[in-house]
Amino acid sequence: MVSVQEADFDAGALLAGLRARVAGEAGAVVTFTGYVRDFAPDQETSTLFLEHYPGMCERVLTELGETAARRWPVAAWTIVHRVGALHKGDQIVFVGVASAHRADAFRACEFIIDTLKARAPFWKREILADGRSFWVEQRRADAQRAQEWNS
Amino acid sequence: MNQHEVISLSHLDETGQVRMVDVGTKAVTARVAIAQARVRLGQKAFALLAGHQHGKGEVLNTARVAGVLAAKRCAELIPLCHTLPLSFVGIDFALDDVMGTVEVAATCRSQYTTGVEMEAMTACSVAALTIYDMCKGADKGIVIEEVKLLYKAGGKSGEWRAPGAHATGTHAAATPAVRGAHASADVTMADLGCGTTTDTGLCQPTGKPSDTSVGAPIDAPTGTLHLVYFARVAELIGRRSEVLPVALPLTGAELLRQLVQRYPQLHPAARLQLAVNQEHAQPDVVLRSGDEVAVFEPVTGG
Repeated sequence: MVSVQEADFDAGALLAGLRARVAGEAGAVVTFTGYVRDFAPDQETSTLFLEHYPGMCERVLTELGETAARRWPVAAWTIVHRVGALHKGDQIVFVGVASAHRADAFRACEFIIDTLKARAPFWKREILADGRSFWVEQRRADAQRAQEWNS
Repeated sequence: MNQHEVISLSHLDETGQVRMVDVGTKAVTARVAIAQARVRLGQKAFALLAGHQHGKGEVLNTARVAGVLAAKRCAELIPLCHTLPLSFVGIDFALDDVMGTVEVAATCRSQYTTGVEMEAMTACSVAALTIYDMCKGADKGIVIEEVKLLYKAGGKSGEWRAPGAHATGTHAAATPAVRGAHASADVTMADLGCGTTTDTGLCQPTGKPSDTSVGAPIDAPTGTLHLVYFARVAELIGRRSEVLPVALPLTGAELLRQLVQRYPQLHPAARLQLAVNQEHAQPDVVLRSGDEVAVFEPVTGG
Protein backbone atom coordinates (compact mmCIF):
# COMPACT_ATOMS: atom_id res chain seq x y z
CA MET A 1 0.00 0.00 0.00
CA VAL A 2 1.31 3.42 -0.94
CA SER A 3 0.24 6.88 0.15
CA VAL A 4 1.76 10.25 -0.63
CA GLN A 5 0.00 12.82 1.51
CA GLU A 6 0.25 16.16 3.27
CA ALA A 7 -1.60 14.95 6.33
CA ASP A 8 0.18 13.35 9.25
CA PHE A 9 -0.10 9.59 9.71
CA ASP A 10 -0.65 7.36 12.72
CA ALA A 11 2.23 4.88 12.73
CA GLY A 12 0.40 2.65 15.20
CA ALA A 13 -2.65 2.46 12.98
CA LEU A 14 -0.48 1.66 9.95
CA LEU A 15 1.17 -1.17 11.87
CA ALA A 16 -2.21 -2.51 12.95
CA GLY A 17 -3.39 -2.22 9.35
CA LEU A 18 -0.46 -4.34 8.17
CA ARG A 19 -1.23 -7.04 10.72
CA ALA A 20 -4.89 -7.00 9.76
CA ARG A 21 -4.02 -7.43 6.07
CA VAL A 22 -1.94 -10.54 6.74
CA ALA A 23 -4.45 -11.90 9.25
CA GLY A 24 -2.00 -13.91 11.28
CA GLU A 25 0.01 -15.19 8.28
CA ALA A 26 3.12 -13.25 9.15
CA GLY A 27 5.08 -13.76 12.32
CA ALA A 28 7.13 -10.61 11.97
CA VAL A 29 6.44 -6.96 11.18
CA VAL A 30 9.32 -4.50 10.85
CA THR A 31 8.59 -0.79 10.56
CA PHE A 32 10.70 2.33 10.00
CA THR A 33 9.56 5.88 10.75
CA GLY A 34 11.57 8.92 9.65
CA TYR A 35 11.27 12.29 11.42
CA VAL A 36 12.33 15.86 10.72
CA ARG A 37 15.43 16.70 12.70
CA ASP A 38 17.83 19.66 12.75
CA PHE A 39 19.82 19.87 9.54
CA ALA A 40 23.04 19.88 11.57
CA PRO A 41 23.90 20.23 15.27
CA ASP A 42 24.51 23.95 14.84
CA GLN A 43 21.90 24.57 12.15
CA GLU A 44 18.45 24.45 13.66
CA THR A 45 15.59 23.62 11.29
CA SER A 46 12.52 25.82 11.31
CA THR A 47 10.59 24.30 8.40
CA LEU A 48 11.35 21.43 6.04
CA PHE A 49 9.41 21.72 2.79
CA LEU A 50 8.95 18.51 0.79
CA GLU A 51 8.41 19.10 -2.93
CA HIS A 52 7.36 16.11 -5.03
CA TYR A 53 6.47 14.84 -8.50
CA PRO A 54 2.80 13.82 -8.25
CA GLY A 55 2.15 10.60 -10.12
CA MET A 56 5.77 9.53 -10.35
CA CYS A 57 6.09 9.36 -6.54
CA GLU A 58 3.30 6.84 -6.28
CA ARG A 59 4.71 4.82 -9.20
CA VAL A 60 8.21 4.66 -7.76
CA LEU A 61 7.03 3.76 -4.25
CA THR A 62 4.73 1.05 -5.62
CA GLU A 63 7.61 -0.30 -7.71
CA LEU A 64 9.83 -0.37 -4.60
CA GLY A 65 7.27 -2.32 -2.59
CA GLU A 66 6.67 -4.78 -5.41
CA THR A 67 10.41 -5.26 -5.96
CA ALA A 68 10.90 -5.98 -2.27
CA ALA A 69 8.04 -8.49 -2.37
CA ARG A 70 9.70 -10.28 -5.29
CA ARG A 71 13.13 -10.42 -3.68
CA TRP A 72 11.98 -11.58 -0.23
CA PRO A 73 8.95 -13.53 0.94
CA VAL A 74 6.86 -10.52 1.98
CA ALA A 75 3.25 -10.96 3.00
CA ALA A 76 2.34 -7.25 2.96
CA TRP A 77 4.00 -3.85 2.86
CA THR A 78 3.05 -0.22 3.44
CA ILE A 79 4.83 2.99 2.46
CA VAL A 80 3.57 6.42 3.49
CA HIS A 81 5.48 9.61 2.62
CA ARG A 82 4.42 13.11 3.56
CA VAL A 83 4.83 16.22 1.44
CA GLY A 84 4.45 19.94 2.00
CA ALA A 85 5.62 22.03 4.95
CA LEU A 86 6.84 20.04 7.96
CA HIS A 87 8.42 21.08 11.24
CA LYS A 88 11.08 19.69 13.54
CA GLY A 89 9.94 16.49 15.14
CA ASP A 90 7.24 15.82 12.53
CA GLN A 91 6.93 12.40 10.93
CA ILE A 92 8.06 12.30 7.30
CA VAL A 93 7.96 8.68 6.16
CA PHE A 94 6.73 5.25 7.25
CA VAL A 95 7.81 1.90 5.83
CA GLY A 96 6.30 -1.32 7.16
CA VAL A 97 6.89 -4.90 6.03
CA ALA A 98 5.17 -8.06 7.25
CA SER A 99 6.80 -11.42 6.62
CA ALA A 100 6.81 -14.94 8.02
CA HIS A 101 10.25 -14.44 9.56
CA ARG A 102 12.13 -11.48 10.92
CA ALA A 103 15.28 -11.70 8.73
CA ASP A 104 13.26 -11.13 5.54
CA ALA A 105 11.15 -8.40 7.15
CA PHE A 106 14.27 -6.50 8.32
CA ARG A 107 16.01 -6.74 4.96
CA ALA A 108 12.96 -5.84 2.88
CA CYS A 109 12.21 -2.82 5.08
CA GLU A 110 15.80 -1.58 4.91
CA PHE A 111 15.87 -2.13 1.15
CA ILE A 112 12.74 -0.04 0.69
CA ILE A 113 13.89 2.95 2.73
CA ASP A 114 17.44 2.86 1.33
CA THR A 115 16.22 2.73 -2.26
CA LEU A 116 13.48 5.30 -1.64
CA LYS A 117 16.10 7.83 -0.60
CA ALA A 118 17.90 7.46 -3.94
CA ARG A 119 14.99 7.05 -6.35
CA ALA A 120 11.72 8.50 -5.07
CA PRO A 121 11.09 11.97 -6.56
CA PHE A 122 10.91 14.10 -3.41
CA TRP A 123 13.11 17.13 -2.75
CA LYS A 124 13.72 18.75 0.65
CA ARG A 125 14.02 22.47 1.14
CA GLU A 126 15.48 23.45 4.48
CA ILE A 127 14.40 26.69 6.09
CA LEU A 128 16.62 27.24 9.11
CA ALA A 129 15.72 29.09 12.28
CA ASP A 130 18.20 31.84 11.36
CA GLY A 131 16.33 32.44 8.10
CA ARG A 132 18.73 30.78 5.68
CA SER A 133 17.09 28.41 3.21
CA PHE A 134 18.46 26.00 0.65
CA TRP A 135 17.72 22.80 -1.26
CA VAL A 136 19.20 19.78 0.51
CA GLU A 137 21.72 17.85 -1.57
CA GLN A 138 21.68 14.10 -1.87
CA ARG A 139 24.20 12.44 0.41
CA ARG A 140 26.80 10.28 -1.28
CA ALA A 141 26.34 7.71 1.47
CA ASP A 142 22.63 7.42 0.62
CA ALA A 143 23.39 6.92 -3.08
CA GLN A 144 25.99 4.28 -2.19
CA ARG A 145 23.70 2.35 0.15
CA ALA A 146 21.04 2.18 -2.55
CA GLN A 147 23.62 0.95 -5.06
CA GLU A 148 24.78 -1.82 -2.72
CA TRP A 149 21.34 -3.44 -2.78
CA ASN A 150 21.82 -4.08 -6.49
CA SER A 151 25.30 -5.55 -6.32
CA MET B 1 -1.06 54.73 -41.02
CA ASN B 2 1.28 55.98 -43.75
CA GLN B 3 1.52 54.66 -47.29
CA HIS B 4 4.62 52.58 -46.50
CA GLU B 5 2.91 50.66 -43.69
CA VAL B 6 -0.19 49.92 -45.76
CA ILE B 7 1.80 48.25 -48.53
CA SER B 8 3.75 46.04 -46.08
CA LEU B 9 0.60 44.21 -44.94
CA SER B 10 0.32 41.55 -47.62
CA HIS B 11 -3.44 41.16 -47.27
CA LEU B 12 -4.11 44.76 -48.32
CA ASP B 13 -3.64 45.93 -51.89
CA GLU B 14 -2.35 49.34 -53.07
CA THR B 15 -5.72 50.96 -52.41
CA GLY B 16 -5.85 49.52 -48.87
CA GLN B 17 -8.54 47.01 -49.75
CA VAL B 18 -8.45 43.50 -48.35
CA ARG B 19 -7.37 40.82 -50.79
CA MET B 20 -6.06 37.28 -50.72
CA VAL B 21 -2.40 36.72 -51.61
CA ASP B 22 -1.95 34.68 -54.78
CA VAL B 23 0.42 31.90 -53.73
CA GLY B 24 0.19 30.06 -57.05
CA THR B 25 3.64 31.15 -58.17
CA LYS B 26 5.47 30.35 -54.93
CA ALA B 27 7.63 27.27 -54.47
CA VAL B 28 6.25 24.11 -52.96
CA THR B 29 8.36 23.47 -49.89
CA ALA B 30 8.00 21.50 -46.66
CA ARG B 31 6.11 23.68 -44.20
CA VAL B 32 5.91 23.21 -40.44
CA ALA B 33 4.48 25.40 -37.71
CA ILE B 34 4.11 24.91 -33.95
CA ALA B 35 1.76 27.12 -31.93
CA GLN B 36 0.66 27.11 -28.31
CA ALA B 37 -2.25 28.28 -26.20
CA ARG B 38 -2.61 28.20 -22.43
CA VAL B 39 -5.79 27.48 -20.48
CA ARG B 40 -5.70 28.96 -16.97
CA LEU B 41 -8.13 26.90 -14.95
CA GLY B 42 -7.52 27.99 -11.39
CA GLN B 43 -6.93 25.47 -8.63
CA LYS B 44 -10.48 24.16 -8.22
CA ALA B 45 -11.26 23.46 -11.88
CA PHE B 46 -7.75 22.11 -12.45
CA ALA B 47 -8.06 19.74 -9.51
CA LEU B 48 -11.28 18.42 -11.01
CA LEU B 49 -9.70 18.03 -14.44
CA ALA B 50 -6.46 16.42 -13.25
CA GLY B 51 -7.96 14.49 -10.38
CA HIS B 52 -10.13 12.14 -12.35
CA GLN B 53 -7.95 9.91 -14.47
CA HIS B 54 -10.91 8.97 -16.65
CA GLY B 55 -12.29 12.50 -16.78
CA LYS B 56 -8.95 14.03 -17.65
CA GLY B 57 -8.50 11.55 -20.49
CA GLU B 58 -11.90 12.42 -21.91
CA VAL B 59 -11.42 16.19 -21.77
CA LEU B 60 -7.97 16.16 -23.33
CA ASN B 61 -8.83 13.54 -25.96
CA THR B 62 -11.88 15.55 -26.99
CA ALA B 63 -9.79 18.71 -27.13
CA ARG B 64 -7.20 16.89 -29.23
CA VAL B 65 -9.78 15.75 -31.79
CA ALA B 66 -11.30 19.24 -31.86
CA GLY B 67 -7.87 20.75 -32.55
CA VAL B 68 -7.20 18.38 -35.42
CA LEU B 69 -10.59 19.06 -37.00
CA ALA B 70 -10.10 22.80 -36.58
CA ALA B 71 -6.74 22.76 -38.37
CA LYS B 72 -8.44 21.17 -41.36
CA ARG B 73 -11.12 23.87 -41.39
CA CYS B 74 -8.82 26.85 -40.91
CA ALA B 75 -9.33 28.16 -44.45
CA GLU B 76 -13.09 28.24 -43.85
CA LEU B 77 -12.70 30.36 -40.71
CA ILE B 78 -9.93 32.84 -41.50
CA PRO B 79 -11.03 34.79 -44.60
CA LEU B 80 -7.74 35.13 -46.44
CA CYS B 81 -6.24 31.72 -45.65
CA HIS B 82 -5.70 29.23 -48.43
CA THR B 83 -7.02 25.70 -48.41
CA LEU B 84 -4.06 23.43 -48.31
CA PRO B 85 -3.28 19.73 -47.96
CA LEU B 86 -2.18 19.06 -44.40
CA SER B 87 0.13 16.05 -44.12
CA PHE B 88 0.14 16.09 -40.32
CA VAL B 89 -1.63 17.67 -37.35
CA GLY B 90 -0.54 16.85 -33.80
CA ILE B 91 -1.89 18.17 -30.51
CA ASP B 92 -0.02 17.78 -27.20
CA PHE B 93 -0.81 18.89 -23.64
CA ALA B 94 1.30 19.87 -20.64
CA LEU B 95 -0.39 20.19 -17.25
CA ASP B 96 1.07 22.40 -14.51
CA ASP B 97 -0.51 21.47 -11.21
CA VAL B 98 1.00 24.40 -9.32
CA MET B 99 -0.22 27.10 -11.69
CA GLY B 100 -3.44 25.26 -12.57
CA THR B 101 -2.77 25.60 -16.29
CA VAL B 102 -2.89 23.38 -19.35
CA GLU B 103 -0.54 24.29 -22.19
CA VAL B 104 -1.69 23.12 -25.61
CA ALA B 105 0.81 22.74 -28.45
CA ALA B 106 -0.27 22.15 -32.04
CA THR B 107 2.13 21.02 -34.78
CA CYS B 108 1.09 21.20 -38.43
CA ARG B 109 2.90 20.11 -41.57
CA SER B 110 2.27 20.44 -45.26
CA GLN B 111 4.06 20.37 -48.60
CA TYR B 112 2.67 23.55 -50.15
CA THR B 113 3.22 27.02 -51.49
CA THR B 114 2.29 28.75 -48.24
CA GLY B 115 2.84 28.21 -44.54
CA VAL B 116 0.71 26.46 -41.94
CA GLU B 117 1.00 28.97 -39.09
CA MET B 118 -2.74 29.75 -39.11
CA GLU B 119 -3.58 26.06 -39.09
CA ALA B 120 -1.42 25.58 -35.98
CA MET B 121 -2.79 28.74 -34.29
CA THR B 122 -6.38 27.71 -35.04
CA ALA B 123 -5.81 24.14 -33.87
CA CYS B 124 -4.41 25.08 -30.46
CA SER B 125 -7.05 27.80 -30.01
CA VAL B 126 -9.94 25.42 -30.66
CA ALA B 127 -8.39 22.72 -28.48
CA ALA B 128 -8.16 25.33 -25.70
CA LEU B 129 -11.79 26.35 -26.30
CA THR B 130 -12.83 22.72 -26.03
CA ILE B 131 -11.10 22.40 -22.65
CA TYR B 132 -12.92 25.59 -21.60
CA ASP B 133 -16.24 24.18 -22.75
CA MET B 134 -15.79 20.95 -20.85
CA CYS B 135 -14.61 22.65 -17.64
CA LYS B 136 -16.73 25.79 -17.54
CA GLY B 137 -19.26 24.09 -15.31
CA ALA B 138 -16.66 24.17 -12.54
CA ASP B 139 -15.44 27.74 -13.12
CA LYS B 140 -16.73 30.33 -15.57
CA GLY B 141 -13.61 32.40 -14.91
CA ILE B 142 -11.34 30.10 -16.91
CA VAL B 143 -9.01 32.15 -19.12
CA ILE B 144 -7.43 31.24 -22.44
CA GLU B 145 -4.19 33.18 -22.78
CA GLU B 146 -0.95 33.61 -24.65
CA VAL B 147 -1.95 32.07 -27.96
CA LYS B 148 1.20 32.39 -30.03
CA LEU B 149 3.43 30.89 -32.67
CA LEU B 150 6.44 29.06 -31.25
CA TYR B 151 8.17 28.04 -34.45
CA LYS B 152 7.81 27.87 -38.22
CA ALA B 153 9.98 26.69 -41.08
CA GLY B 154 9.74 26.48 -44.83
CA GLY B 155 9.27 28.99 -47.61
CA LYS B 156 11.37 32.01 -48.49
CA SER B 157 11.50 33.45 -44.97
CA GLY B 158 12.74 30.13 -43.61
CA GLU B 159 12.94 29.46 -39.90
CA TRP B 160 11.50 31.64 -37.18
CA ARG B 161 11.39 30.98 -33.43
CA ALA B 162 9.55 32.87 -30.73
CA PRO B 163 11.91 34.73 -28.38
CA GLY B 164 12.44 32.69 -25.22
CA ALA B 165 10.54 35.04 -22.94
CA HIS B 166 9.27 33.66 -19.62
CA ALA B 167 7.24 35.08 -16.76
CA THR B 168 9.81 35.69 -14.05
CA GLY B 169 12.72 36.64 -16.27
CA THR B 170 15.38 34.92 -14.18
CA HIS B 171 16.63 33.02 -17.22
CA ALA B 172 19.39 34.12 -19.57
CA ALA B 173 17.90 32.86 -22.83
CA ALA B 174 18.22 35.51 -25.50
CA THR B 175 16.36 35.45 -28.79
CA PRO B 176 17.98 32.52 -30.62
CA ALA B 177 20.25 33.81 -33.35
CA VAL B 178 19.24 33.10 -36.90
CA ARG B 179 21.27 30.10 -37.98
CA GLY B 180 23.79 31.03 -40.65
CA ALA B 181 23.28 29.44 -44.01
CA HIS B 182 20.00 27.82 -43.08
CA ALA B 183 18.26 31.07 -42.29
CA SER B 184 17.06 31.92 -45.74
CA ALA B 185 17.52 28.57 -47.49
CA ASP B 186 14.28 27.03 -48.59
CA VAL B 187 13.58 23.59 -47.29
CA THR B 188 13.10 21.82 -50.61
CA MET B 189 10.35 19.34 -50.98
CA ALA B 190 11.50 16.54 -48.74
CA ASP B 191 10.09 13.06 -48.66
CA LEU B 192 8.77 13.08 -45.13
CA GLY B 193 7.12 9.76 -45.73
CA CYS B 194 4.67 8.22 -43.38
CA GLY B 195 6.09 6.71 -40.26
CA THR B 196 4.20 5.51 -37.22
CA THR B 197 0.56 6.18 -36.69
CA THR B 198 -0.35 8.08 -33.55
CA ASP B 199 -3.22 7.03 -31.37
CA THR B 200 -5.42 9.56 -33.15
CA GLY B 201 -4.88 7.58 -36.33
CA LEU B 202 -2.92 10.36 -37.98
CA CYS B 203 0.16 9.54 -39.98
CA GLN B 204 3.27 10.84 -38.23
CA PRO B 205 6.41 11.67 -40.23
CA THR B 206 9.41 9.53 -39.43
CA GLY B 207 11.46 12.48 -38.29
CA LYS B 208 14.19 14.04 -40.36
CA PRO B 209 13.66 14.62 -44.09
CA SER B 210 15.28 12.02 -46.36
CA ASP B 211 18.76 12.50 -47.74
CA THR B 212 17.39 13.64 -51.08
CA SER B 213 16.53 17.01 -49.56
CA VAL B 214 19.04 19.80 -50.00
CA GLY B 215 19.70 22.52 -47.47
CA ALA B 216 17.27 21.20 -44.86
CA PRO B 217 17.85 22.86 -41.48
CA ILE B 218 19.68 20.42 -39.20
CA ASP B 219 17.63 21.20 -36.15
CA ALA B 220 14.20 21.97 -37.58
CA PRO B 221 11.76 20.91 -34.86
CA THR B 222 9.86 17.80 -35.71
CA GLY B 223 7.97 17.45 -32.44
CA THR B 224 7.38 18.84 -28.97
CA LEU B 225 8.40 17.75 -25.48
CA HIS B 226 6.63 18.68 -22.25
CA LEU B 227 9.30 19.61 -19.81
CA VAL B 228 8.60 19.70 -16.09
CA TYR B 229 11.06 21.16 -13.65
CA PHE B 230 11.48 20.52 -9.93
CA ALA B 231 13.18 21.99 -6.88
CA ARG B 232 16.33 23.94 -7.63
CA VAL B 233 15.99 23.41 -11.39
CA ALA B 234 12.55 25.08 -11.37
CA GLU B 235 13.90 27.88 -9.21
CA LEU B 236 16.87 28.56 -11.49
CA ILE B 237 14.82 28.47 -14.67
CA GLY B 238 11.93 30.44 -13.19
CA ARG B 239 9.35 28.03 -14.58
CA ARG B 240 7.80 24.78 -13.50
CA SER B 241 7.02 23.51 -16.99
CA GLU B 242 7.11 24.37 -20.66
CA VAL B 243 6.41 22.96 -24.09
CA LEU B 244 9.64 22.77 -26.10
CA PRO B 245 9.76 22.27 -29.88
CA VAL B 246 12.71 19.97 -30.61
CA ALA B 247 14.34 18.22 -33.53
CA LEU B 248 13.78 14.50 -33.11
CA PRO B 249 15.16 11.99 -32.54
CA LEU B 250 16.89 13.50 -29.55
CA THR B 251 18.66 11.81 -26.64
CA GLY B 252 18.28 12.85 -23.03
CA ALA B 253 21.91 13.99 -22.99
CA GLU B 254 21.35 16.20 -26.03
CA LEU B 255 18.26 17.72 -24.43
CA LEU B 256 20.21 18.54 -21.28
CA ARG B 257 22.92 20.20 -23.38
CA GLN B 258 20.26 22.30 -25.13
CA LEU B 259 18.69 23.25 -21.80
CA VAL B 260 22.00 24.35 -20.30
CA GLN B 261 22.63 26.40 -23.42
CA ARG B 262 19.17 27.96 -23.13
CA TYR B 263 19.50 28.48 -19.36
CA PRO B 264 23.21 28.88 -18.56
CA GLN B 265 22.46 29.16 -14.86
CA LEU B 266 21.78 25.39 -14.88
CA HIS B 267 25.43 24.63 -15.59
CA PRO B 268 26.82 22.00 -15.10
CA ALA B 269 24.59 19.53 -16.94
CA ALA B 270 26.26 16.62 -15.17
CA ARG B 271 24.26 17.02 -11.98
CA LEU B 272 20.88 17.02 -13.81
CA GLN B 273 18.75 13.87 -13.97
CA LEU B 274 15.84 12.90 -16.16
CA ALA B 275 12.56 11.04 -15.95
CA VAL B 276 10.61 10.30 -19.13
CA ASN B 277 6.87 9.72 -18.78
CA GLN B 278 7.40 9.44 -15.01
CA GLU B 279 10.13 6.81 -15.14
CA HIS B 280 13.80 7.39 -14.38
CA ALA B 281 15.81 7.52 -17.59
CA GLN B 282 19.48 7.39 -18.51
CA PRO B 283 21.02 10.15 -20.66
CA ASP B 284 21.06 7.86 -23.69
CA VAL B 285 17.25 7.57 -23.68
CA VAL B 286 15.72 8.44 -27.05
CA LEU B 287 12.97 11.02 -26.67
CA ARG B 288 9.80 11.07 -28.78
CA SER B 289 7.26 13.80 -29.49
CA GLY B 290 4.73 14.16 -26.71
CA ASP B 291 7.02 12.74 -24.01
CA GLU B 292 6.78 14.29 -20.56
CA VAL B 293 10.39 14.89 -19.52
CA ALA B 294 11.16 15.85 -15.94
CA VAL B 295 14.47 17.55 -15.19
CA PHE B 296 15.76 17.60 -11.60
CA GLU B 297 18.72 17.27 -9.29
CA PRO B 298 19.29 14.08 -7.24
CA VAL B 299 16.32 13.28 -5.02
CA THR B 300 16.28 13.78 -1.26
CA GLY B 301 13.18 12.05 0.09
CA GLY B 302 12.78 9.76 3.06
